[in-house]
Amino acid sequence: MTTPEPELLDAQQGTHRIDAANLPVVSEDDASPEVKALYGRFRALFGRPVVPGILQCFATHPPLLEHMMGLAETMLFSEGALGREHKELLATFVSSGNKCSYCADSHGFFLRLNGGSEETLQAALACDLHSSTLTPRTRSWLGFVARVSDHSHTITPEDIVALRDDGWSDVQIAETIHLTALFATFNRVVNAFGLPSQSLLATLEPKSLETKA
Amino acid sequence: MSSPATVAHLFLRGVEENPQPSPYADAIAHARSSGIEYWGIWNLLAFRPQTAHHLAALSHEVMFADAPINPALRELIAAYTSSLNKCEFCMRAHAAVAAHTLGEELVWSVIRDLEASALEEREKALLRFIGKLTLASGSVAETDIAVLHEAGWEDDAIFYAIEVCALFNFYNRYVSGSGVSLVSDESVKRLATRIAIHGYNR
Repeated sequence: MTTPEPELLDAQQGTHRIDAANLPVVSEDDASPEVKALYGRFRALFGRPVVPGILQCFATHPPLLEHMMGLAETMLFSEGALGREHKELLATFVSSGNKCSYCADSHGFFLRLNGGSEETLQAALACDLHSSTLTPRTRSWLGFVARVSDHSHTITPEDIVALRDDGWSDVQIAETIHLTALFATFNRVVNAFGLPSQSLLATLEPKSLETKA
Repeated sequence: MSSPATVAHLFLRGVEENPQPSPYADAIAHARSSGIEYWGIWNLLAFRPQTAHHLAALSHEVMFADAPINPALRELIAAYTSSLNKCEFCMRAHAAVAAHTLGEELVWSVIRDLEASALEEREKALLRFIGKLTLASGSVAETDIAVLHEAGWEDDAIFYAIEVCALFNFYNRYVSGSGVSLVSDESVKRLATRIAIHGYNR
Protein backbone atom coordinates (compact mmCIF):
# COMPACT_ATOMS: atom_id res chain seq x y z
CA MET A 1 0.00 0.00 0.00
CA THR A 2 1.16 3.54 -0.59
CA THR A 3 1.40 5.37 2.67
CA PRO A 4 0.68 9.04 3.04
CA GLU A 5 2.99 9.21 6.10
CA PRO A 6 5.60 11.70 4.82
CA GLU A 7 3.07 14.16 3.43
CA LEU A 8 0.92 14.08 6.56
CA LEU A 9 3.85 14.38 8.93
CA ASP A 10 5.37 17.13 6.82
CA ALA A 11 2.19 19.17 7.04
CA GLN A 12 1.82 18.60 10.78
CA GLN A 13 5.24 19.49 12.07
CA GLY A 14 5.18 23.24 12.26
CA THR A 15 8.04 23.77 14.65
CA HIS A 16 11.46 22.15 14.74
CA ARG A 17 12.43 22.88 18.34
CA ILE A 18 11.17 20.39 20.90
CA ASP A 19 11.22 21.02 24.63
CA ALA A 20 11.21 18.13 27.08
CA ALA A 21 9.93 19.05 30.56
CA ASN A 22 12.57 17.28 32.67
CA LEU A 23 15.90 17.03 30.83
CA PRO A 24 17.60 18.68 27.84
CA VAL A 25 17.38 17.14 24.34
CA VAL A 26 19.57 17.79 21.28
CA SER A 27 17.70 19.86 18.70
CA GLU A 28 18.61 19.64 15.03
CA ASP A 29 20.18 23.09 15.08
CA ASP A 30 22.54 22.16 17.94
CA ALA A 31 23.46 18.68 16.72
CA SER A 32 27.12 17.67 16.26
CA PRO A 33 28.21 16.51 12.77
CA GLU A 34 27.99 12.88 13.96
CA VAL A 35 24.44 13.36 15.22
CA LYS A 36 23.48 15.36 12.10
CA ALA A 37 24.58 12.34 10.02
CA LEU A 38 22.38 10.01 12.09
CA TYR A 39 19.44 12.41 11.87
CA GLY A 40 20.04 12.44 8.10
CA ARG A 41 19.91 8.64 8.00
CA PHE A 42 16.60 8.78 9.81
CA ARG A 43 15.21 11.25 7.24
CA ALA A 44 16.41 9.12 4.33
CA LEU A 45 14.92 5.92 5.80
CA PHE A 46 11.57 7.34 6.78
CA GLY A 47 11.12 10.16 4.32
CA ARG A 48 10.27 12.40 7.27
CA PRO A 49 11.55 15.97 7.34
CA VAL A 50 11.61 16.45 11.11
CA VAL A 51 13.50 14.33 13.63
CA PRO A 52 11.10 13.23 16.39
CA GLY A 53 11.75 14.10 20.02
CA ILE A 54 12.51 10.54 21.11
CA LEU A 55 15.62 10.48 18.93
CA GLN A 56 16.68 13.84 20.32
CA CYS A 57 16.65 12.26 23.82
CA PHE A 58 19.46 9.86 22.84
CA ALA A 59 21.50 12.28 20.79
CA THR A 60 23.75 13.50 23.61
CA HIS A 61 25.44 10.09 23.08
CA PRO A 62 25.62 9.25 19.35
CA PRO A 63 26.35 5.49 19.72
CA LEU A 64 23.20 5.14 21.82
CA LEU A 65 21.21 7.02 19.20
CA GLU A 66 22.61 4.79 16.46
CA HIS A 67 21.71 1.52 18.21
CA MET A 68 18.32 2.67 19.49
CA MET A 69 17.51 3.58 15.87
CA GLY A 70 18.80 0.14 14.85
CA LEU A 71 16.47 -1.58 17.32
CA ALA A 72 13.47 0.45 16.13
CA GLU A 73 14.26 -0.30 12.48
CA THR A 74 14.74 -4.05 12.92
CA MET A 75 11.96 -4.68 15.45
CA LEU A 76 9.23 -2.12 14.76
CA PHE A 77 9.57 -0.42 11.39
CA SER A 78 9.69 -3.71 9.50
CA GLU A 79 6.93 -6.08 8.45
CA GLY A 80 8.28 -9.15 10.31
CA ALA A 81 5.93 -12.05 11.02
CA LEU A 82 3.38 -9.87 12.86
CA GLY A 83 2.93 -7.15 10.25
CA ARG A 84 3.00 -3.39 10.74
CA GLU A 85 -0.65 -3.00 11.72
CA HIS A 86 -0.36 -5.48 14.61
CA LYS A 87 2.95 -3.96 15.66
CA GLU A 88 1.46 -0.47 15.81
CA LEU A 89 -1.62 -1.75 17.65
CA LEU A 90 0.70 -3.32 20.23
CA ALA A 91 2.83 -0.17 20.46
CA THR A 92 -0.20 2.07 21.00
CA PHE A 93 -1.74 -0.28 23.56
CA VAL A 94 1.48 -0.74 25.58
CA SER A 95 2.36 2.97 25.49
CA SER A 96 -1.10 3.89 26.67
CA GLY A 97 -0.87 1.36 29.51
CA ASN A 98 2.52 2.85 30.45
CA LYS A 99 0.99 6.34 30.47
CA CYS A 100 3.31 7.54 27.74
CA SER A 101 1.19 10.04 25.85
CA TYR A 102 3.96 10.89 23.38
CA CYS A 103 4.37 7.26 22.19
CA ALA A 104 0.63 6.45 22.38
CA ASP A 105 -0.07 9.43 20.12
CA SER A 106 2.65 8.75 17.55
CA HIS A 107 2.02 4.99 17.33
CA GLY A 108 -1.73 5.53 17.34
CA PHE A 109 -1.08 7.73 14.32
CA PHE A 110 0.97 4.97 12.65
CA LEU A 111 -1.75 2.45 13.53
CA ARG A 112 -4.31 4.51 11.62
CA LEU A 113 -1.96 4.93 8.67
CA ASN A 114 -1.27 1.19 8.54
CA GLY A 115 -4.89 0.11 8.31
CA GLY A 116 -6.18 0.26 11.90
CA SER A 117 -9.73 1.60 12.22
CA GLU A 118 -10.69 4.57 14.41
CA GLU A 119 -12.55 2.13 16.72
CA THR A 120 -9.46 -0.07 17.08
CA LEU A 121 -7.39 3.03 17.84
CA GLN A 122 -9.83 4.08 20.56
CA ALA A 123 -9.80 0.58 22.10
CA ALA A 124 -5.96 0.63 22.17
CA LEU A 125 -5.78 4.13 23.66
CA ALA A 126 -8.30 3.15 26.37
CA CYS A 127 -6.52 -0.23 26.93
CA ASP A 128 -10.00 -1.72 26.52
CA LEU A 129 -9.58 -5.48 26.25
CA HIS A 130 -13.36 -5.95 26.14
CA SER A 131 -14.01 -3.70 23.16
CA SER A 132 -16.38 -5.38 20.71
CA THR A 133 -14.44 -3.88 17.83
CA LEU A 134 -11.58 -6.31 18.57
CA THR A 135 -11.87 -9.96 17.56
CA PRO A 136 -11.66 -12.52 20.40
CA ARG A 137 -8.27 -13.59 19.00
CA THR A 138 -6.94 -10.02 19.11
CA ARG A 139 -8.34 -9.55 22.60
CA SER A 140 -6.51 -12.60 23.98
CA TRP A 141 -3.34 -11.54 22.18
CA LEU A 142 -3.50 -8.06 23.74
CA GLY A 143 -4.26 -9.68 27.10
CA PHE A 144 -0.95 -11.52 26.76
CA VAL A 145 0.78 -8.27 25.76
CA ALA A 146 -0.61 -6.58 28.90
CA ARG A 147 0.78 -9.35 31.08
CA VAL A 148 4.23 -9.16 29.48
CA SER A 149 4.12 -5.39 29.96
CA ASP A 150 2.94 -5.41 33.60
CA HIS A 151 3.77 -8.83 35.08
CA SER A 152 6.22 -10.57 32.77
CA HIS A 153 7.44 -12.82 35.59
CA THR A 154 4.03 -14.57 35.64
CA ILE A 155 4.22 -15.78 32.02
CA THR A 156 4.16 -19.59 31.80
CA PRO A 157 4.39 -22.22 29.03
CA GLU A 158 0.57 -22.49 29.21
CA ASP A 159 0.29 -18.87 28.01
CA ILE A 160 2.40 -19.77 24.98
CA VAL A 161 0.26 -22.87 24.30
CA ALA A 162 -2.92 -20.73 24.42
CA LEU A 163 -1.46 -18.35 21.82
CA ARG A 164 -0.42 -21.26 19.58
CA ASP A 165 -3.97 -22.64 19.86
CA ASP A 166 -5.19 -19.26 18.58
CA GLY A 167 -2.98 -19.69 15.52
CA TRP A 168 0.03 -17.57 16.46
CA SER A 169 3.41 -18.98 15.40
CA ASP A 170 6.41 -19.07 17.74
CA VAL A 171 8.06 -16.37 15.65
CA GLN A 172 5.00 -14.13 15.97
CA ILE A 173 4.89 -14.77 19.72
CA ALA A 174 8.60 -13.92 19.99
CA GLU A 175 8.05 -10.67 18.07
CA THR A 176 5.13 -9.87 20.38
CA ILE A 177 7.26 -10.30 23.51
CA HIS A 178 10.27 -8.44 22.09
CA LEU A 179 8.23 -5.47 20.88
CA THR A 180 6.37 -5.18 24.19
CA ALA A 181 9.77 -5.17 25.87
CA LEU A 182 11.07 -2.51 23.47
CA PHE A 183 8.21 -0.22 24.44
CA ALA A 184 8.95 -0.78 28.13
CA THR A 185 12.24 0.94 27.26
CA PHE A 186 11.06 3.68 24.91
CA ASN A 187 8.14 4.67 27.15
CA ARG A 188 10.42 5.03 30.17
CA VAL A 189 12.98 7.14 28.34
CA VAL A 190 10.26 9.44 27.03
CA ASN A 191 8.54 9.68 30.44
CA ALA A 192 11.86 10.35 32.19
CA PHE A 193 12.61 13.20 29.79
CA GLY A 194 9.03 14.46 29.95
CA LEU A 195 8.50 14.74 26.19
CA PRO A 196 5.13 16.28 25.38
CA SER A 197 2.79 14.54 22.92
CA GLN A 198 3.21 15.71 19.32
CA SER A 199 -0.61 15.62 18.95
CA LEU A 200 -0.31 13.87 15.60
CA LEU A 201 -3.68 12.15 16.11
CA ALA A 202 -5.51 15.42 16.63
CA THR A 203 -4.69 16.46 13.08
CA LEU A 204 -5.80 13.23 11.40
CA GLU A 205 -9.06 13.31 9.52
CA PRO A 206 -10.65 9.90 10.10
CA LYS A 207 -13.08 10.22 7.19
CA SER A 208 -10.47 10.85 4.53
CA LEU A 209 -8.51 7.80 5.72
CA GLU A 210 -11.56 5.57 5.71
CA THR A 211 -12.63 6.46 2.19
CA LYS A 212 -9.14 5.58 0.96
CA ALA A 213 -9.12 2.20 2.70
CA MET B 1 19.00 -36.27 34.00
CA SER B 2 19.31 -34.19 30.85
CA SER B 3 22.69 -33.06 29.63
CA PRO B 4 23.08 -29.31 28.95
CA ALA B 5 22.74 -30.02 25.22
CA THR B 6 19.12 -31.17 25.52
CA VAL B 7 17.77 -28.85 28.23
CA ALA B 8 15.09 -26.43 26.97
CA HIS B 9 16.23 -22.85 27.50
CA LEU B 10 13.07 -21.08 26.29
CA PHE B 11 9.29 -21.57 26.22
CA LEU B 12 9.51 -20.94 22.49
CA ARG B 13 10.99 -24.06 20.93
CA GLY B 14 10.37 -22.63 17.46
CA VAL B 15 12.87 -19.90 18.32
CA GLU B 16 15.33 -22.03 20.27
CA GLU B 17 15.61 -24.69 17.57
CA ASN B 18 16.34 -22.22 14.75
CA PRO B 19 19.41 -20.21 15.75
CA GLN B 20 20.50 -17.92 12.89
CA PRO B 21 24.17 -17.63 11.86
CA SER B 22 25.63 -15.23 14.43
CA PRO B 23 28.23 -14.98 17.20
CA TYR B 24 25.54 -16.29 19.59
CA ALA B 25 24.85 -19.40 17.50
CA ASP B 26 28.63 -20.02 17.56
CA ALA B 27 28.82 -19.45 21.33
CA ILE B 28 25.90 -21.87 21.90
CA ALA B 29 27.49 -24.52 19.66
CA HIS B 30 30.80 -24.12 21.46
CA ALA B 31 29.22 -24.40 24.94
CA ARG B 32 27.21 -27.45 23.88
CA SER B 33 30.17 -29.25 22.37
CA SER B 34 32.20 -28.53 25.53
CA GLY B 35 29.30 -29.66 27.74
CA ILE B 36 29.23 -26.39 29.71
CA GLU B 37 26.25 -24.34 30.81
CA TYR B 38 25.54 -21.08 28.94
CA TRP B 39 23.18 -18.12 29.35
CA GLY B 40 19.80 -19.15 27.87
CA ILE B 41 19.44 -15.56 26.64
CA TRP B 42 21.88 -16.49 23.84
CA ASN B 43 19.05 -18.49 22.28
CA LEU B 44 17.03 -15.28 22.11
CA LEU B 45 19.96 -13.31 20.72
CA ALA B 46 20.48 -15.91 17.97
CA PHE B 47 16.86 -15.34 16.80
CA ARG B 48 17.43 -12.04 14.92
CA PRO B 49 21.17 -11.36 14.52
CA GLN B 50 20.72 -7.78 13.35
CA THR B 51 18.60 -6.90 16.36
CA ALA B 52 21.06 -8.75 18.60
CA HIS B 53 23.95 -6.76 17.15
CA HIS B 54 22.29 -3.46 18.09
CA LEU B 55 21.27 -4.83 21.49
CA ALA B 56 24.78 -6.01 22.37
CA ALA B 57 26.43 -2.82 21.13
CA LEU B 58 23.88 -0.71 22.98
CA SER B 59 24.37 -2.77 26.16
CA HIS B 60 28.13 -2.38 25.91
CA GLU B 61 27.84 1.40 25.56
CA VAL B 62 25.23 1.79 28.29
CA MET B 63 26.75 -0.66 30.79
CA PHE B 64 30.48 -0.78 30.18
CA ALA B 65 31.89 2.13 28.15
CA ASP B 66 33.22 5.24 29.92
CA ALA B 67 30.44 7.17 31.62
CA PRO B 68 29.92 9.48 34.60
CA ILE B 69 28.55 6.48 36.58
CA ASN B 70 31.03 3.64 37.11
CA PRO B 71 30.19 0.22 35.61
CA ALA B 72 29.64 -1.43 39.02
CA LEU B 73 26.94 1.09 39.96
CA ARG B 74 25.37 0.66 36.52
CA GLU B 75 25.28 -3.10 37.15
CA LEU B 76 23.69 -2.45 40.54
CA ILE B 77 21.01 -0.33 38.85
CA ALA B 78 20.43 -3.23 36.43
CA ALA B 79 20.13 -5.76 39.25
CA TYR B 80 17.86 -3.47 41.28
CA THR B 81 15.58 -2.80 38.28
CA SER B 82 15.42 -6.56 37.61
CA SER B 83 14.53 -7.24 41.25
CA LEU B 84 11.62 -4.78 41.05
CA ASN B 85 10.42 -6.52 37.90
CA LYS B 86 10.92 -9.92 39.60
CA CYS B 87 13.18 -11.14 36.81
CA GLU B 88 15.31 -13.68 38.64
CA PHE B 89 17.56 -14.45 35.68
CA CYS B 90 18.65 -10.83 35.13
CA MET B 91 18.75 -10.05 38.84
CA ARG B 92 21.15 -12.91 39.64
CA ALA B 93 23.30 -12.26 36.57
CA HIS B 94 23.76 -8.53 37.15
CA ALA B 95 23.99 -8.81 40.93
CA ALA B 96 26.94 -11.12 40.25
CA VAL B 97 28.55 -8.63 37.85
CA ALA B 98 28.06 -5.80 40.38
CA ALA B 99 29.38 -8.00 43.20
CA HIS B 100 32.58 -8.55 41.25
CA THR B 101 33.49 -4.98 42.30
CA LEU B 102 31.12 -4.07 45.15
CA GLY B 103 31.00 -7.40 47.00
CA GLU B 104 28.08 -9.80 47.49
CA GLU B 105 26.99 -8.39 50.82
CA LEU B 106 26.39 -4.81 49.73
CA VAL B 107 24.73 -5.79 46.45
CA TRP B 108 22.27 -8.23 47.99
CA SER B 109 21.48 -5.89 50.90
CA VAL B 110 20.42 -3.26 48.34
CA ILE B 111 18.21 -5.78 46.54
CA ARG B 112 16.64 -6.97 49.81
CA ASP B 113 16.05 -3.52 51.34
CA LEU B 114 17.47 -0.40 49.72
CA GLU B 115 16.77 1.91 52.66
CA ALA B 116 18.34 -0.40 55.24
CA SER B 117 21.42 -1.05 53.10
CA ALA B 118 24.85 0.51 53.65
CA LEU B 119 24.76 2.25 50.25
CA GLU B 120 25.68 5.96 50.27
CA GLU B 121 22.71 8.34 50.52
CA ARG B 122 23.50 9.87 47.15
CA GLU B 123 23.32 6.46 45.49
CA LYS B 124 20.15 5.59 47.37
CA ALA B 125 18.57 8.73 45.89
CA LEU B 126 19.48 7.51 42.41
CA LEU B 127 18.00 4.05 43.05
CA ARG B 128 14.79 5.54 44.47
CA PHE B 129 14.40 7.39 41.18
CA ILE B 130 15.09 4.11 39.32
CA GLY B 131 12.31 2.51 41.36
CA LYS B 132 9.83 5.19 40.29
CA LEU B 133 10.95 5.01 36.66
CA THR B 134 10.51 1.23 36.66
CA LEU B 135 7.17 1.01 38.46
CA ALA B 136 5.41 4.32 37.68
CA SER B 137 7.23 6.11 34.87
CA GLY B 138 4.12 8.08 33.92
CA SER B 139 4.37 10.04 37.16
CA VAL B 140 8.04 11.06 36.81
CA ALA B 141 8.25 14.87 36.91
CA GLU B 142 10.74 17.72 36.97
CA THR B 143 10.74 17.59 40.78
CA ASP B 144 12.21 14.06 40.65
CA ILE B 145 15.12 15.34 38.58
CA ALA B 146 15.53 18.28 41.00
CA VAL B 147 15.93 15.80 43.88
CA LEU B 148 18.76 14.10 41.95
CA HIS B 149 20.43 17.44 41.23
CA GLU B 150 20.31 18.23 44.96
CA ALA B 151 21.90 14.85 45.71
CA GLY B 152 24.78 15.91 43.46
CA TRP B 153 23.96 14.11 40.22
CA GLU B 154 24.42 16.01 36.97
CA ASP B 155 22.27 15.56 33.88
CA ASP B 156 24.79 13.33 32.11
CA ALA B 157 24.90 10.88 35.02
CA ILE B 158 21.10 10.94 35.30
CA PHE B 159 20.96 10.20 31.58
CA TYR B 160 23.00 7.03 32.07
CA ALA B 161 20.89 5.92 35.04
CA ILE B 162 17.77 6.33 32.87
CA GLU B 163 19.35 4.38 30.01
CA VAL B 164 20.40 1.47 32.25
CA CYS B 165 16.97 1.32 33.88
CA ALA B 166 15.15 1.56 30.53
CA LEU B 167 17.40 -1.11 28.98
CA PHE B 168 16.71 -3.53 31.82
CA ASN B 169 13.01 -2.91 31.62
CA PHE B 170 13.51 -4.30 28.10
CA TYR B 171 15.65 -7.27 29.13
CA ASN B 172 13.41 -8.28 32.03
CA ARG B 173 10.38 -8.68 29.74
CA TYR B 174 12.42 -10.19 26.91
CA VAL B 175 13.80 -12.82 29.29
CA SER B 176 10.77 -13.53 31.53
CA GLY B 177 8.25 -13.47 28.67
CA SER B 178 10.34 -15.99 26.72
CA GLY B 179 10.91 -18.23 29.74
CA VAL B 180 14.71 -18.10 29.68
CA SER B 181 15.80 -20.79 32.14
CA LEU B 182 18.03 -20.16 35.14
CA VAL B 183 21.62 -21.38 35.34
CA SER B 184 23.53 -22.70 38.35
CA ASP B 185 25.22 -20.31 40.82
CA GLU B 186 28.57 -21.57 39.64
CA SER B 187 27.80 -20.73 35.99
CA VAL B 188 26.38 -17.33 36.95
CA LYS B 189 29.67 -16.50 38.64
CA ARG B 190 31.78 -17.70 35.69
CA LEU B 191 29.66 -15.92 33.05
CA ALA B 192 29.30 -12.73 35.12
CA THR B 193 33.05 -12.49 35.55
CA ARG B 194 33.44 -12.39 31.79
CA ILE B 195 30.99 -9.47 31.59
CA ALA B 196 32.68 -7.62 34.47
CA ILE B 197 36.01 -7.84 32.63
CA HIS B 198 35.09 -7.68 28.93
CA GLY B 199 31.62 -6.12 28.75
CA TYR B 200 28.86 -7.07 26.34
CA ASN B 201 30.26 -7.15 22.81
CA ARG B 202 30.59 -10.48 21.02
